[in-house]
This record gives sequence, C-alpha cells and structure tokens, in this order.
Amino acid sequence: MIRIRLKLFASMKDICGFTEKDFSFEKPVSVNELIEELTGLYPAVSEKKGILLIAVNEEYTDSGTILEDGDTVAIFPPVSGG
Amino acid sequence: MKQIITQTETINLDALLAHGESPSDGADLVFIGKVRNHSRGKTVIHIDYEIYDTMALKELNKIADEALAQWDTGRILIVHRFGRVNIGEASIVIAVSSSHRDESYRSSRYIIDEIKKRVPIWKKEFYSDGSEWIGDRN
Repeated sequence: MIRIRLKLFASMKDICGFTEKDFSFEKPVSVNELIEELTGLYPAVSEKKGILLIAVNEEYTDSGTILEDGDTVAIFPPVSGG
Repeated sequence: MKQIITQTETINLDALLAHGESPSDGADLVFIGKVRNHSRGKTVIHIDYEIYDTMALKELNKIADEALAQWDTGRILIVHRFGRVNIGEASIVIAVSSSHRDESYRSSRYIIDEIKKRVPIWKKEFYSDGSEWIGDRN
C-alpha cells in the first residue's frame, strides 16, 4: 500500500474544502489518477482540469508522474503572486 | 549576497536595505510591487495572498540563483508578503545592486517575471461585493 499526502491551494482548496489530506492506494498511481479520484469526490474539480499545476515533493512535474509511497503532491491553479 | 524572505508583516524597506551593500556597487535598484485599489473595473478593498511557503522559498531561491548566474550583480533581496495586504502597501520588494545599472535592471525584470510564472503564491482580491481568486481565469 502506498500513502500520498495531498495539498491543495487557492480555488482548489475552496472547491474541496481542505488544505491537506492523506490518500492510500493499493498500487502505485499517477497524479492523473489521483485527480480522477478527487474529481469523483468533488465534481467541481473537473472545471479546473485544464489549468491545474502539479508539484511533487515541492518540485513542478506533469500529471503523468507516478507517485511513490510518502510523496507529497500539491495541486493548484496558475500562480498569481507579485 | 542573496536574501529571500516571505512574511506576513509590513515590509520595512529601510531596515532591509541598511545592510548587504557593497562599495563596488554603483547601482541599487528597488522594485516595489503594491496593492492597487482597482482591478479589471472593480474596486479592490484588500488582497489576501495564499502561499505554499516551503515550495515558494525554494522557487524564489532558484530564481535568484538563475539571475545571479546570468548577470554580475551584488545583492539580490526578494521579500514577498502573504496573508492580508491592504491598498497601497507593498506586497513584494526586489532589490538588486550591481556595479552598473544595466545588470540590475535586467536582473530585477527577470526576477519579477519569473515570480509571476512560477512561485506558488495566489492572490484573492476582495471587492465591496465579493471576492475572487486571481489566476484561475487564465
């Protein structure tokens, strides 16, 4: 079993109603599969699918990345700092 | 010298600029990004900045290192606020020094452009009649 910590920010946090949650899977999953799982729980996530950015362990990556046990995944909309 | 800070407090520019100077620098360029009272036709009351702080610090450090590798500069100071920032207050300060001004201008411009692309910070604008995350519409 692998455990993934998911962090959400900005509008993604508002849609799902949490900032951090742990997910466990029987086998390795991609970020895409994690987003599908999340969309099943929170359908409004589908509205954001085209714009989401992904970071695994605080480094940007793409949604095809396969997650390993203990990874921290952050999913968020385009940044708007400055 | 490189200094990267994220903070909720008001930015005290004088205190930050008081050290880190080099006698070989003839240019000290300070960019101050402020919260303005209007955005796309709406009246803004204040902005809340949300931050993924540990990753934001990493990205800010990377950007500063990239700038240092490209231009011969002395000090690079980046301060970004998070939490509530009121109208007229500085949300970001970028200070770059160099022997001659051209390096500072180029470096400072690179830093702010990259921050807006990559650093995980989000602004939520508050209006008299509601609020909105900025960035999602892109």
